[in-house]
Amino acid sequence: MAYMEKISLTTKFEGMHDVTKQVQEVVKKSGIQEGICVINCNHTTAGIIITSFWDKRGHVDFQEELDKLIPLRYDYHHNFDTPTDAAGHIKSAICGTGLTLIVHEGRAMLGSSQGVLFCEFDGPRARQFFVKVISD
Amino acid sequence: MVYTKEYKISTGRDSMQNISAEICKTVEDSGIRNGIVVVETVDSTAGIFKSVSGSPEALDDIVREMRRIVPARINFYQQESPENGAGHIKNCLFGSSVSMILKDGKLLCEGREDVYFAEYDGPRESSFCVCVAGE
Amino acid sequence: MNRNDYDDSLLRQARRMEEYVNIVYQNVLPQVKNLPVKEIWDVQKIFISGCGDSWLAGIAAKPAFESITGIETNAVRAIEFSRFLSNKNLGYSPNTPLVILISYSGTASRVIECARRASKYGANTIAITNNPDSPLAKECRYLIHVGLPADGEYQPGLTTYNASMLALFMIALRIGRVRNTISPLVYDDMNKELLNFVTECQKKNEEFEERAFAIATKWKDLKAEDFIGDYGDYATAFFGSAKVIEAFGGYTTYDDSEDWCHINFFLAEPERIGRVVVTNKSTPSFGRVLESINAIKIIGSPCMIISDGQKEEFPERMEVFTTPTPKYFWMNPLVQHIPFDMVAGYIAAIKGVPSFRKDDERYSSDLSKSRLKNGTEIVII
Repeated sequence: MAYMEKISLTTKFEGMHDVTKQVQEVVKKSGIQEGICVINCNHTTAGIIITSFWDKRGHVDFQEELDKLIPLRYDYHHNFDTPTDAAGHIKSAICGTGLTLIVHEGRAMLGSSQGVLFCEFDGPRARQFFVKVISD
Repeated sequence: MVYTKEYKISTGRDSMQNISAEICKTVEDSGIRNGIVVVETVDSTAGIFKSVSGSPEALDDIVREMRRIVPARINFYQQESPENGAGHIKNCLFGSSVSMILKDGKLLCEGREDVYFAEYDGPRESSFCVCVAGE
Repeated sequence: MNRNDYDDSLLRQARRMEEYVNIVYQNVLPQVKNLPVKEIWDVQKIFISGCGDSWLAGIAAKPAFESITGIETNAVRAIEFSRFLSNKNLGYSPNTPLVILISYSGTASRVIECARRASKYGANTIAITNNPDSPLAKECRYLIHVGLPADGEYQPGLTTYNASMLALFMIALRIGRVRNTISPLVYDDMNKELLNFVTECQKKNEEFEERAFAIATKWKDLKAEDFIGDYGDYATAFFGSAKVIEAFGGYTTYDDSEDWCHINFFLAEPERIGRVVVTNKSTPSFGRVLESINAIKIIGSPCMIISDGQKEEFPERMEVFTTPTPKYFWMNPLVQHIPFDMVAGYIAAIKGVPSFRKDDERYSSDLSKSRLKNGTEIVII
């Protein structure tokens, strides 16, 4: 048995959007007790990660450290779009655009501080991601 | 005694121009045989540095590494342009003057190293100054 | 007839062109420098819109934008941008397109609607206006306040047209500087040349006024004025045509050099139609324009040519107004409307008619006045 849902959101520039609740909601709706949950977004300048959702300033640090590694410089070879887009591609590739979680007793297994975050590396944009729950 | 001369220079984009000839000429004109030579630019998006003679590859590496260390960011607080913003930082990090020792009418580095004028936000009209102090 | 007996707003504005251009330049320079680097790098396409002269300023500035920045730029009519333009053009990437909206008063309803539609899609918007508290200024993310003195004489539009064009040129220069499509050296030179060029043209004013008066005395009884110009010069041609209507309510038409040969050439009574051709030697269609001029000669229309070319470049007995050749071709539209503005001013003065039919109350009724600022507003999604 499997169940899938599309979740839409509107992001901010370099926004870090906590989507943990939406993901748990889909798992609950699926009715699946034991299995796996796959989360994936089909964008090249966004990412999905797990990190603490408690401290919002930590999210600023995350984006700032990424910016240090992958600066918004204008002279990337990728010149099809914008510098933010070029850097976003790299950030997205490094962070990854999806996650796999274990579903146990009707919930996606996450630690008490762990949150699923949708990371915007460009924006503001209309974005979407998919959550699929598959039973054992 | 002290002898000073200013030179105008037309720069290119990300260009490194060898200015050793101008420095040697200034030393010669000064008549000073022993002392110190200082070369400085007051252009805030340019630099002066000393490096190996006769290796354009080494210069290319310097340009590349400078760009790696100081990327031309679109999110600098300074809002003139990315190259201009990076230029100010390169100017500060990599120096805008060199001083050299003059001994018996010859620069100590002569033949081994050359002095280069680095443009970080060109092409534009710029300048540098050579000062010879000694006797 | 003595030229000194006649005067008009267009003539007075033309005499103060240099002064006003300098005022606008000084006001706009710090403002364009405030446009953020990141957002300038986000621009992938540019739209310029406005109504009447403002839209024409966009057409006149398209060559500047494309040659300085390399970014595709289109001047779109306000009604098209607000109601017809496919939303595929809007918001496909953050802060793209860059939408520049022009309204001297900042109250033109359709232009405000353009701003709302662009913002809805996350496009970046810049208002060029003389009213920083206007609805347009408030709808747009950035404001370029041209800062013309409040007590000036700006009708029919000439000073305001130059102000819009200059502000557009300066935005293009800022984009070019930030995106490194022009070097700092060229950036400084282009800025300097903008003012130099206007100063050089202003020196020709006395000669132009005298010759414009001579033409006005001959053309005042003609049936119509017909204008020809291509690409950026199309704006100058269209602008001249607008002045015919605004200044003395004349009949007029305009086209580019190619379609003119297909359509306007056939207007009846050519000897009673004044033809005005705007062209420049560097224009890729210069040869085609010359063919149109030869056709004008054959059918016997009175003709004035506005160009950076000398008299010798054109057939004999043509009235050639030679404007100085700018160092950068895209600056031409800034001044080349002046010779015909003067002709229109003198015709209005000789006929003794006020601009915009102020002597006929049908044109100044409340209903008529509301046509610019009212109308149902909608935002197309």
